[in-house]
Amino acid sequence: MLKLNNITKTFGDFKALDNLTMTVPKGAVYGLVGPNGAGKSTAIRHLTGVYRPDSGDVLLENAPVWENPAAKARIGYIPDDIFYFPSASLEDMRKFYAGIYPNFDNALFERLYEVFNLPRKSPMRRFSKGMQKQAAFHLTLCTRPDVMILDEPVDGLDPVMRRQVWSLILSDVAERGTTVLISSHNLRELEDICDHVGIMDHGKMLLERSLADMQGATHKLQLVGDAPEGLEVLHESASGRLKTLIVRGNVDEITAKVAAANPAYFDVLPLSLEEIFIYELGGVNYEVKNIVL
Amino acid sequence: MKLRTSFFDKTVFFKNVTRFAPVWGLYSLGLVMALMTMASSDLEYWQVDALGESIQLMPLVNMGYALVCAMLLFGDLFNARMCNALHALPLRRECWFSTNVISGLAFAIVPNLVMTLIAIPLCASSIVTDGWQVPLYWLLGSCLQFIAFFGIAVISIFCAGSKFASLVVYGIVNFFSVLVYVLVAAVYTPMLYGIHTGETPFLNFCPVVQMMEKGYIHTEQLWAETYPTQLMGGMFTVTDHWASLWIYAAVGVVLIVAALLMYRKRHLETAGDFIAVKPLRPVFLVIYTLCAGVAFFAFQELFLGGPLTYFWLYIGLAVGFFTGLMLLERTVRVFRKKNFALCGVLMLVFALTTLVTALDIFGIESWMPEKSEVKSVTVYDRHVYYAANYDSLSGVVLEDEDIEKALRLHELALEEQKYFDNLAIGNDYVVVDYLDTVETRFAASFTIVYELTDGRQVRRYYYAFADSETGEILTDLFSTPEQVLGVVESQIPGFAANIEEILLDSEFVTPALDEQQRQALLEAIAADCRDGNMAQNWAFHSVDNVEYYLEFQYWNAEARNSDWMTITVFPECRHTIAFIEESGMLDYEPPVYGPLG
Repeated sequence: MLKLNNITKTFGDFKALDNLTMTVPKGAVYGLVGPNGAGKSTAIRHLTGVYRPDSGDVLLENAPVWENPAAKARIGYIPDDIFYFPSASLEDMRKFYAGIYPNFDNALFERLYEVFNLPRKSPMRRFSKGMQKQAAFHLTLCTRPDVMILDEPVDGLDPVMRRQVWSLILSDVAERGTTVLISSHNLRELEDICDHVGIMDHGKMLLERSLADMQGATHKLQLVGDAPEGLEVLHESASGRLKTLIVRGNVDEITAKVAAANPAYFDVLPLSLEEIFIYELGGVNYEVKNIVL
Repeated sequence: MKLRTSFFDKTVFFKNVTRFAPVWGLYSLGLVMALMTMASSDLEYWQVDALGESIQLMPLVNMGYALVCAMLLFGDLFNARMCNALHALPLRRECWFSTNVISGLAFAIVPNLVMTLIAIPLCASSIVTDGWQVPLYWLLGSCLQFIAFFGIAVISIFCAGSKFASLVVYGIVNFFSVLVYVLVAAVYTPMLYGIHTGETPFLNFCPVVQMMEKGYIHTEQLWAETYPTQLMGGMFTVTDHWASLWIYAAVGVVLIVAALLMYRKRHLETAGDFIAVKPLRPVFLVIYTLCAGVAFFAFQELFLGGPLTYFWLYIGLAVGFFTGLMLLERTVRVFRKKNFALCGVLMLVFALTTLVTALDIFGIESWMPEKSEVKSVTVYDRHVYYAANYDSLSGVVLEDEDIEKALRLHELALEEQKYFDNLAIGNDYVVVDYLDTVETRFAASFTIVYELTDGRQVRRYYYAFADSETGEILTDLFSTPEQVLGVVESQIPGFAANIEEILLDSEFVTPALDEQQRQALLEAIAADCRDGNMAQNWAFHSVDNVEYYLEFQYWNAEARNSDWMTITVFPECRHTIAFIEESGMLDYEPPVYGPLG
């Protein structure tokens, strides 16, 4: 289990993380989402032991991550902005990683070479962004991490390579029980692979639970007629006589209440992750503004 | 779960070695080329001599090379992406740090060692006894210097957040004492008459100057006794300057340890900031502001001139303050009310310090000791021109009752201050327009050095008119035989007995004086000294011409060669002039030689 425990981090006058608590269960594929500037990358830099928190703890299996090589050796990290030694080739980086990571798997490196098929001797600074990302996956998977922390991991990859990368990650999860934390703005993609989700805003965790729980706790209610009293409505809109309500609560309870009001028509639909994200954040003044240009 | 702390990682070390190979390779090549140049000399002595002397030059090389090594090895801290990527790797900061330090030391020590190993057989085959040891001393000296500068470079890097900033901080740390000296000497000292700020105490804190000041290996030639132009061999001795080198290296090690402690606390998000350590930012801003102020001040003095020097100083301070803020905040939007107020406060404090100095609130300028406070006083004539080095001048030492004479001199000098206030100290001699009458008068500068009973030494530098009471006292003091002849006598024992030849000006060819005539001439000079007419400074005589120059050639046994000393004969020196005119020196006809054969 990877845990951020009451982490606070300030940069000058700006509080990037505000008493943030986050728990990534062991073996979970955890999607960390939030608007720009929510503090996702800062949280990730704490999880990988790069930043030292002003207060709070970062723990991997109850051991601190900060300045703990044993814990950090179990974490594979692919940042959003990848950087290598300026003149290093893939082969140079393999040697470097093999020397630094105790579990580096050279055999796997050769097998993955067949998948990514990147130039081995060319300086990586000449790679395209997508190729650099592939190289990062190539190297990180070979470190045999127990936890993979990925910041916008497939950004810059073509659709085929995206599928390939997700497939590799998920097979690693299936085979080795790897814990994966993914920060991404591509919620449709996250919905397909994540089983846990955390929504951050202003350095705090707004919502953190399994995707199933999250989707079971918020619903889209469409009805013709008046909505009954007692529903926890997050958002309401209307198109002609058809009203659409985003309602928090148990599906059976919502259905029973609406049925009791006897509307002309009603239906209770599950929400996508993107809709949950939009409506949950709508409650904290982060909503799509109706701006006419 | 925690691994034990490791202080070395071979992967990182070899990565450093391969990644920065061009740099240490170039350094090695430079050393070998320098050695080849030395070895190409066919004089077997000079190879060793040059290698020994190069220890004194190596601080310049090491100052630059240490910074380059430190910036390469720790420069990743300045790039946020690289910094984050590296610190996510499973290595403790101590391990990163110490491996990089070891790499840096290896970048210098290994090439130095290679150079030493090549130089040992070359020096062993020289004519210098035990010459093979000199390369080993060179290795030691060079490595100690590198450690000192590497320590300064590493701490500078950990104070800074960017490469440019680390360069600036490194410059400030290395030359801070010089900056303070320039500030004091150029801005404050000229406000105080009689006060001069010498650079020596400040330069004592400038590592590169200190390291280059004295030699570490002294080599000597051994000449054949029967055939003095034949070089028979050589020998070397180790000077006592090494102790300071060990101290500098120790300071370097302490700075490296301090840098490690800073690294452990360092917030990596400071990558790219100008100054990474928050409490140091105001310190940097103040120093940077003062630097800019002094730079503008110096620019005005050197290139523009005119009366607006202090105006330019304050312009420089303002420019420095706001550009410093721009660097620190990484934006040009620093022109805010709060910053203007801060700048105003800083300039006000600076203005107050200059005002306090100019008004002499602390009584530095007007200070005069009580007689009871003074153990002895030495009065120096600035213009005894046969002593090139100011510090080696022999002054007139006044003790007991004579101290009052010095105090009177001091008092008169302060009274005459208004005539000399704007003159720079240390001019050879000056001619000033007398303020009241627009009359031209001669003035000379002199120095009073008090040895106080509490052990302090206080120096004052003044001017005096030759035709004033001050000038009379000084002429009297500097005309003593001890001052005129005794200076040489004290430096060259047996001077009088060692005179080889006496020439009268360069225009006259004089006959060789016999022993009796020489003695008579010296006695005539001594008589003029007793009359108070022999002070060897034009300004004391209010004349712009002299009667004669007497040039004494004498054997300097210590230097094993002949030296020259010139005594100026002024129109008042009647005894000497009489001797010259009566001895026939002026009438001497040089022998005419016929054609060869």
